[in-house]
Amino acid sequence: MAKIVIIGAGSHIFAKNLITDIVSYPELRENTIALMDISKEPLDLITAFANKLVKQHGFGTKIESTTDRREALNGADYVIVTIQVGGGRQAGRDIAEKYGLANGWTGPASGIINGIRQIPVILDICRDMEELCPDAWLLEYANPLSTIIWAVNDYTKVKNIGLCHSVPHTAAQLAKYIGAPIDEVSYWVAGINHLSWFLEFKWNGKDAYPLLREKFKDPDVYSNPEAHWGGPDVVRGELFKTFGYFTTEASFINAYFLPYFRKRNRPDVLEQYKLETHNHPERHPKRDSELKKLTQAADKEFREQISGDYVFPITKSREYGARIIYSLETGVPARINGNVKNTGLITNLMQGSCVEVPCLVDREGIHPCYVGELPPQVAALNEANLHAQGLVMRGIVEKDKNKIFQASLLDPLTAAILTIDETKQMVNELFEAEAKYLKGYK
Amino acid sequence: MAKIVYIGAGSHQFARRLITDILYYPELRGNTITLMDIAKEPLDLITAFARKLVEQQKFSTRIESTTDRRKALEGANYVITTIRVGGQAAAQADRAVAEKYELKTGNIIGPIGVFDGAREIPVLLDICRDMEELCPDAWLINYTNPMAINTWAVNEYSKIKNVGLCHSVQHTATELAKYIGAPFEEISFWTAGINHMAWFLDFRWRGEDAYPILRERFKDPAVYSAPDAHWDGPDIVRAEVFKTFGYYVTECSTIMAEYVPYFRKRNRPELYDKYKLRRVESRAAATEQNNKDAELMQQIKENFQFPMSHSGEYVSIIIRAIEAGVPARINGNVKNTGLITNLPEDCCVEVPCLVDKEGITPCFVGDLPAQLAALNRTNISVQELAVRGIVEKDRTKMFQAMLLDPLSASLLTIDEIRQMTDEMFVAGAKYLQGYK
Repeated sequence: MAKIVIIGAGSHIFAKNLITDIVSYPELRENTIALMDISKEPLDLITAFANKLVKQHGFGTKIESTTDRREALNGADYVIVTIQVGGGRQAGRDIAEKYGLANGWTGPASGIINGIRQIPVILDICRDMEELCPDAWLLEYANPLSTIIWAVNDYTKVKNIGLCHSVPHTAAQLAKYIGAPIDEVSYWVAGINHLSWFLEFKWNGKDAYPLLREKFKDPDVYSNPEAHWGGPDVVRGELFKTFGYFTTEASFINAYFLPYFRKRNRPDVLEQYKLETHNHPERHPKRDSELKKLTQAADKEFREQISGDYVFPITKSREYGARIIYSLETGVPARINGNVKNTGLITNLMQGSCVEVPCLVDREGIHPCYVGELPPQVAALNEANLHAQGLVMRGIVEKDKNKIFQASLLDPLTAAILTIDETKQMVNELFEAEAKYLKGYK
Repeated sequence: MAKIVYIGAGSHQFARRLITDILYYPELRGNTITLMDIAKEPLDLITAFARKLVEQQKFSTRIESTTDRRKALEGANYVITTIRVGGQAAAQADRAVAEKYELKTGNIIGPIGVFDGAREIPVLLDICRDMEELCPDAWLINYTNPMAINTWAVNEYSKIKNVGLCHSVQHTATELAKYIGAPFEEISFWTAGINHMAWFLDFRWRGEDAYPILRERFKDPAVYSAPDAHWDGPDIVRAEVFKTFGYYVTECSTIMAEYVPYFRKRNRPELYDKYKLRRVESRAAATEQNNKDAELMQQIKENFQFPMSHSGEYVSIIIRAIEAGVPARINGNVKNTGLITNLPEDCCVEVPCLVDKEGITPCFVGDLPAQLAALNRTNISVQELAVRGIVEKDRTKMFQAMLLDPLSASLLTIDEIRQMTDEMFVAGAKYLQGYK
């Protein structure tokens, strides 16, 4: 019987899907799921949900709940991490926006601040794992994913994989664009998280890119507000036409990583790529008050479902977590896209960095697949981001402000928009705003 | 007796320097120097100069002169190339387009560099084909810009032993010595990176780290902001890069500002003032050239005593080291065969090389500091796409090369870069036949 620990289980929208995913596999129903969060209220809520779900469906799953991380990790086989240190409040996002940068979780400036908050805690979790469950797998979902995984690989011995849903979501999106049922498309995707490339995209075994190119001759296909869950998909449509391959994640996020879609004092460019329309709150909450309102509404509904006679359905999301545990436990092979150390897997991206590649999962573990060379133009776009990530990661672990300043300079969007002086000023402001998380930086 | 062939000898200001450098070494005076150019008039002038110099000094050097490249290459041991396909006119046409997009730059990187490469590479590869047939063991010593793109193409598409040379390492070393007030002979350095963006990883005065002194001096911005701080003018960009990224970079501030996105921003002329950037002017190059031609002609006629001196250019040092077996260290542009471990394999890097009887052997450098490798890498991406685009005559790859140029990408949108690329193809149509 395996022990599956979810750290940060209070992020209950995500945890609810994950728990449901796990028990959706009959082979995984006899395990222990240990829910852990540092804040008791959301933890109690998700625990109540898990208990209700298991009881409603008559599963033998054991649900544990604790605010004590070490207790949760003791004897764990799988440790799923979905933490957000400091919660939703992100001063970095407002500061980034002030300087004309995007304001996402993983983009310039705010992504760096998020790493500063998250990485020390995740390395602490790894230290605990090395002591309490040294053979367990860390399934890491927290952002900024690439930087976190790079740090975990460089500074700990824990077996791990970084997970994101952007590959399967994009695959579903591509299937929709060409009008194919999802189970008839296949793909081979590699790159870095949030900027991976569909190197192959097939429908019933045939190259489906010509079809997509044909569809995209009508810009409305990807520009209309309903094109994608994130709104219009113009940036990805344009990237595909320009660089030849479709990229993962979402247009408003890809725009964080590249210098082409945001220009200083050029609202016409934002307009052209329809980058403002993604900002409506339920899709991309950016203000504290909005976020709080949304969370409260979701909480209320969830509470009512748990206390009432609502029957929670057993469904499967597109998240990889449960699928991985299933393959490792039963030996039924699966292919997933995971974030791993580049040990010669992508030959023209930086060795030792964090890449997102297809992995085989079976009883022996998670085995990253060899990809070889990416087309040089897409490798170039990835590399620009890897250099910034590497320096951020070192800056955070070594508590070196100068490295973080240099990393900001190397970020392609920041470098395109700001001068060196302005970047320095922005980093200083970020450090002031986040002083609480920056003790001991030199 | 070695045969030293000089292709593009008509660029006579540079050729004069190199010929004098070669003859400066007594060990090299018994060789043949074959001067070649496609333009007869400048070739005749430089030939007259070389013969005059040899006659004045009573050297036994044999001077040959021809407009026939294959004849020149026959049996060569060293082939020096300093060509400029299309001359000023072709470069000017590119400049006019780039200028519209605020991208007027030198001929090394960015749109102008990429399209200059498109003119030079086919000719350089033709020279290599001839060499493979007529002098397969000769060394190609190339000075032609865009250095990194050209050298990469030669390494990828020919079998010829070669090195790409530039003087930016020696010049910067001289300037650094001047900044700290040290005699040049007392400093030493270890420099690596890519051409025009190589880094002084070590900089010493009498064996001691001289960076602390430089940092101290640079606390006074007047030291590097003065109009005569550097031959190119104020050196603010390189000083800023030094203060920010921790290492001094080669070449000059004007060119460094073209390699990175920090110093030029759209509609922000105040940055030109802040960094005292020279607006690259289309110099009255033709007139200047005519004046120099007339002056040299006059000197030859009047039997002016040409001095024997050494310019510090590497080519004669290399030939001497190989011929005489006197070891030398130079900085050369070579294929990255694991030399700089955090830059891509097979790209063109500029690293210290040992030269002796065995040839030119690049030295292992290892990892560059991460922030420097990052800056180099952005430009290597441009070079990679440019090399492939040029050799495969692929318009899309040329467009993608422009998109990856950090300065173009920061100033322009994808549509604007596409438009600029299209216009460059029109401007350079004569040299861009057969692109698909």
